[in-house]
Amino acid sequence: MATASPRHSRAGGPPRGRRGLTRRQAIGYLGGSAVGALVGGTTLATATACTPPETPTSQGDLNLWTFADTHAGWFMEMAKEFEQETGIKVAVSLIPGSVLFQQLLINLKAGGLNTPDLCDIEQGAFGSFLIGRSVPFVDIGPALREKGYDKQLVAGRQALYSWQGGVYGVEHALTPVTLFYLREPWERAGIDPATLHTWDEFSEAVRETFPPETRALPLPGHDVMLRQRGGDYFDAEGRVTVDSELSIDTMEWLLAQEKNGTFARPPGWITEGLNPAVWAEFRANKIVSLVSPDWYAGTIESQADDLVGKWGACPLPAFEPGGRRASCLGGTGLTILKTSKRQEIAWQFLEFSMLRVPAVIKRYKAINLYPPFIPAWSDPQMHDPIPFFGGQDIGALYAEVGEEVPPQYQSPYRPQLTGQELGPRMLDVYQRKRSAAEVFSEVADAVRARMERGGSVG
Amino acid sequence: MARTLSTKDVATDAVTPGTPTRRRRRSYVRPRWTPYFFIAPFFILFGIFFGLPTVRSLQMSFYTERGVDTSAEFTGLDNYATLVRDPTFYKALVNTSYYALGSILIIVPLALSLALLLRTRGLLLREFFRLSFFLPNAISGIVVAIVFRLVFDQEYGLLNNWLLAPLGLPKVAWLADPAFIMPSIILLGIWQFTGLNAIYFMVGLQNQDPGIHEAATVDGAGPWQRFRYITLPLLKPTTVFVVTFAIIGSYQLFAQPVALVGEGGGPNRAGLTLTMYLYETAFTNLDLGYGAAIGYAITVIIVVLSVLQMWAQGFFRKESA
Amino acid sequence: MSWRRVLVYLTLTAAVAVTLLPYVYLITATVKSPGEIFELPVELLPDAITTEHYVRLFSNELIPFARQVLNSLVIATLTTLLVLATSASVGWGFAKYDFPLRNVLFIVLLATLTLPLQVALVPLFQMMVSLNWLDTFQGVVLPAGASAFGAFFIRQAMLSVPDDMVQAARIDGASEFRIFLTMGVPLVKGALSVLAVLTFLASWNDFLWPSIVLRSAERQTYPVGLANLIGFYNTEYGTLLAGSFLVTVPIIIVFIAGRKHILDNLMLGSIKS
Repeated sequence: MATASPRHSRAGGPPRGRRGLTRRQAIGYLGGSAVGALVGGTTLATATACTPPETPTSQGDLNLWTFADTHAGWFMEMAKEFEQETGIKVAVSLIPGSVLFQQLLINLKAGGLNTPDLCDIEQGAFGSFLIGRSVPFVDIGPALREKGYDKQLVAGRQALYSWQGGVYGVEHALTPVTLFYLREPWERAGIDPATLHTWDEFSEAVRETFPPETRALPLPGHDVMLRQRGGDYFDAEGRVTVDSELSIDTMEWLLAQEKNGTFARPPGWITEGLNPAVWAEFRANKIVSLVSPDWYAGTIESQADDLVGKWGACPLPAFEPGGRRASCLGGTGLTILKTSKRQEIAWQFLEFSMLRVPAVIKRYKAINLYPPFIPAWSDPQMHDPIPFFGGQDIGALYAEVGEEVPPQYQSPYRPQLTGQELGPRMLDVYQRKRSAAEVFSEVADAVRARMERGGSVG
Repeated sequence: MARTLSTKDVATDAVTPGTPTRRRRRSYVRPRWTPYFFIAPFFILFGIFFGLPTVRSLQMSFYTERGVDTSAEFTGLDNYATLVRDPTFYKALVNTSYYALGSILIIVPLALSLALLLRTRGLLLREFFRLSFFLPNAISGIVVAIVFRLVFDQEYGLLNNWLLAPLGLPKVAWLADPAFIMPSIILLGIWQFTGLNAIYFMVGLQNQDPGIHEAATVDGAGPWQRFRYITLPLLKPTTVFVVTFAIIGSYQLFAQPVALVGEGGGPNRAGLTLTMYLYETAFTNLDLGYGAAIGYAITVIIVVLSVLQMWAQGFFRKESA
Repeated sequence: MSWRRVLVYLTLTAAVAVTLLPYVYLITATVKSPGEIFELPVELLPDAITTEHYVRLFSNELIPFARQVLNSLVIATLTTLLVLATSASVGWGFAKYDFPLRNVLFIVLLATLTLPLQVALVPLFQMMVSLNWLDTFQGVVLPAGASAFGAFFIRQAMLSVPDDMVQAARIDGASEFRIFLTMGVPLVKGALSVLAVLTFLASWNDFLWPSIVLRSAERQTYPVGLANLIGFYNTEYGTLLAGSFLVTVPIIIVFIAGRKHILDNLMLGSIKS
C-alpha cells in the first residue's frame, strides 16, 4: 500500500511513548465507543424500520381508531363486553383529530397501508373521503335496511354519512341543538324561555325585560341557524347552496340581532368560541343563555364548573310559528374500511356497540351524547334528572325535539368549503367589512369551480 | 486553482522534465471510467430521487388525479389554467412575497451590522456571541414556532406583556388578527435566520484584503466612506449568496407558519404560504395533478427571482472564477 | 475602553438577550405548573418547579416521544453518513478528474441548487407509495442522500488537495480509490466535519418530508410528533414545551463541544460564488 506523503504535523500531540491517556485519546475512545453504540443501535433500529409497520393480523383481532377520548373510553368498555360474548378482541387506538383524518386519507391513497378495520370519522372531515371513483368505506346501507335499523336511526343524521345512494357510517350522536339558559337571571326577570315560541317573541321579550347591558346569548353559528330553517351548505344532491337566499338572509338576521342587542359578540367569540372572557360575562349575567348542542355540556363543565347545576334547557325559539325548534351541530360516524380484511366481524362489533338499546344507553351514561337511535329514547334510563341542568329530565326534551333535528348533507367538498373557503372569510362578514351576499357567492363560486374541474371524480 | 490531471496525462506516461524516470513496477493503465465511478453514487441517487420526480412532476401537472381512488386523466394545461385564476394561489403568493420582502429587507442589514460588530478587534466573548446568534438557526422550525406561540400569545405572551404593555401599547392579537399574522411570521424569521447570515457576512468580511482598507485610510477615507466604497462592493459575492438563499428559503417556508397558525393559514388565510398551499392541495385535498402544477409554479417563481436578483446585483457582468 | 467599545458590547449584549430570551423562557416554562404558564403577570421564573410535563411526555400517552427522538437520531445519522459518502466521492470526481461530461454536469448541479423540494414533492410521494417505502426510514434517508450543496462544498475543499501528491501516489501504483480514501478524504476532514454537522442538523430538524413519508407514530421523527401534539387540547402545552426543549439539548451540546472546529471550518470552507 502506497503510503501517503508526509502528514501535516499535528500541533499539540503528545510525543510517543508517554504514558497514560491524553485528553485527546480519552475523547477519542469515548467518541469511538459512542460511535460504536450509535452504529449498533442504528443498525438494530434500522433493521426493524426498513419495512412498513405491520398491522396486527392475528385471527379475530379488530382495530378501531378514534380521535375523541370519551369515545375511546366507551369503545374499550364495549370491546370488553364484545370479547366476553364472542371472544373477539377489539383494539382501540386514540389518535388526535388533527392527525387522524389526514393520515387515514393518505394511507388509503397509498393503497391501504396501515389502516384500521373501523374508524370514527368526524362529520366535518368525512367529505374528503368521498372524492374519487369509489368510497373507501363499506356501504352498510343494505345491512342497515335488512334489519330495519335505518328506520330506527334519525334519517337526518345519517344523511351526513350518505352519498349517492350509499350509507357509509353510523352516527354516534343526535347533537340536538337547544337553548341552554341560566335559570337565575331568567327567573329574576320573570320569564320562562320555553314560552317564547318564535325568535321574534324571544327578541322582544329579552330587550324589554332584561337590563340594557344584558344580552340573551352569544351569536349562534350561521350554519346552525341555517339548518334550523331547513337549509344547509349543500343540498341532498350535493349542490352548493351556501349562497342561497335563505343562507344570506340568515346571516343578515344574525347581524341584525346583534345590532338590536339580542345577540352578543363577546371577546374572542368568533375566532375561539367559548373562552374565559365569555364565561366572565356569563357569571356577571351579561349573557344569560346559549344556543348549544348536547355535547357542549362537557366543555362547559370543564371550562366553568362553577356554573354546573345552574342551567336549564328548552327548545329553540322557532323562526315561524310551528316551525322547527332544534338544530344540529357536529357528529361522528363509525365506519368500516373497505381495506379491512375482517368486514363481517367489524360489522358485528358495530352492530353490537351502536345498534342495541343497552349499548346506546350505556354510551349516553358514559359520555353524555344523546343518541340518534330512536328505540332508546323511551327507555326510563334516558330520563334521569341531570345535575348539570339542576335536575331537569333532559332526555324528555331531546326526545321531544329529536325528530325535528334537521338533516345535514354531506358532500365531497364540504370540508374544503368550510375549512378553506368559508371559514377564513367569515371574520370579514362578522366585522361587517364585507356583505354576506358578496362573501357567500364568492365562496360558492370557488367551490363550484373545484367541483367542476375536469377529471373522474365521484 | 490547481491544474487537474486529465486521463490522458497518466495514460500516455508523460514525464515532466526534471523528474527522474522510473521504471514502472507494474503496467497500470487507469481505466477511462474512473471519474464516473466516483461521481456515480451521487448522480444515481440524485437522478432517481430528484431528477426523475422533477420531470415526472411536470408530466403529472398535465393530468388530473383527485381523491383516494382515481386514475389520472390527461387534461393538458387545465391545471395551469386553474392556477392562473386561483385566488387562493395568489393569496399564498402575496403572503409569501410579503414574508420574503419583509424578512430579507430587515435581515440583510441587520446581519451585516451584527457581523461588523462581531468583527471588532479584540472582542471578548466573541465565540459566545457567535454561538448565541447561530443557535436559533440550529433549532427546528417546528420547535421555534412552538416557542413563539408563547411569545405571541395575546393574553399571556412575552411580547405583549414585556414589551408592549410597559410601553402603554395595547395587547396585539399577533396570531389571531389577520393584519398581524404575517408580521409575526416575519419576526420569527428574523429571530431565526439573522445569526446565520451574520456569520456568512463575517466570512465575506474576513476574506477582504486588509491592505485595501489600509490604503484607503492612508488616503484619508473616513470609516463611513471606507464602508460604502470598499467594504460593500467587495462584499457583493457574499451579499448575492445571502440574498439568493434567503429568497429560496423564504419561498419554501412551511414548518413555521403551520405551527404558528395552523395548516390553513389562520384567519383570512393570512399565514398561508405557497408551500402550505401545495401541501393542502396535494395531501389534504388529494388533488395531485394540481399540486404538481403548484409545485412547478413555485419553482419557476424561485428560479426567476433568484436569477433576477443576481442580475440586478451585477453578478453576471463579470465572469466568475 | 472607549465609549465606542462600550456601545458595541451593549448592542451585542442586547442582541444576545433578545435572541436567547425566548429560549430561556422555554426552559423555565417546562418546569412551571400548567396554570402558571398562562397567568398574569408573566414571569420568567416559576414559583415551584415541577417535573410533571417531562413525566407526561415520556409516559407515551400522547406520543411515543422517546421512540420518536430515537427515530430522528437514526435517520439523521444515516443521512449524514450517506451524504458524506456521496459528497466526498462526487467532490473528488469533479475536483481531480477531467472528463467529457464534467462541465455539463457541473452546471446542471449548480442549476438545481435553486430548485426547491416542492418541485419533486408529489411524484416523490407517489414513488414512495409504489416502492412500498411509505412509513420507512429509507424513504426519508435515501432521497436526502445526494446533496448538491454537499457536492459543491466538498469539491471546493478537494480542489486544495495537492495534485503532485496524487500524481506521486499514482506512480507508486496506488489505485484511484485508495488515493481517494487515504489521501483525499483525510485532507478534507475539516470540510467533511462541517458538512456532517450541517447535514445532521438539517436532518434532525427536518419537518416537511418526514411528515409526508412517516405515517405512524412509532416511525415518526420528533418534529412530526411535536407538531401532532399541537393538535391536542391546550392543556398539553407544558408537555409540548418540554419536548421542544429536550430536542434542542443535543444541538447545544454538539455546538459547545465542537465550537472552534465548526465555526472556523465553516468560515474556511466558504462561499465563493
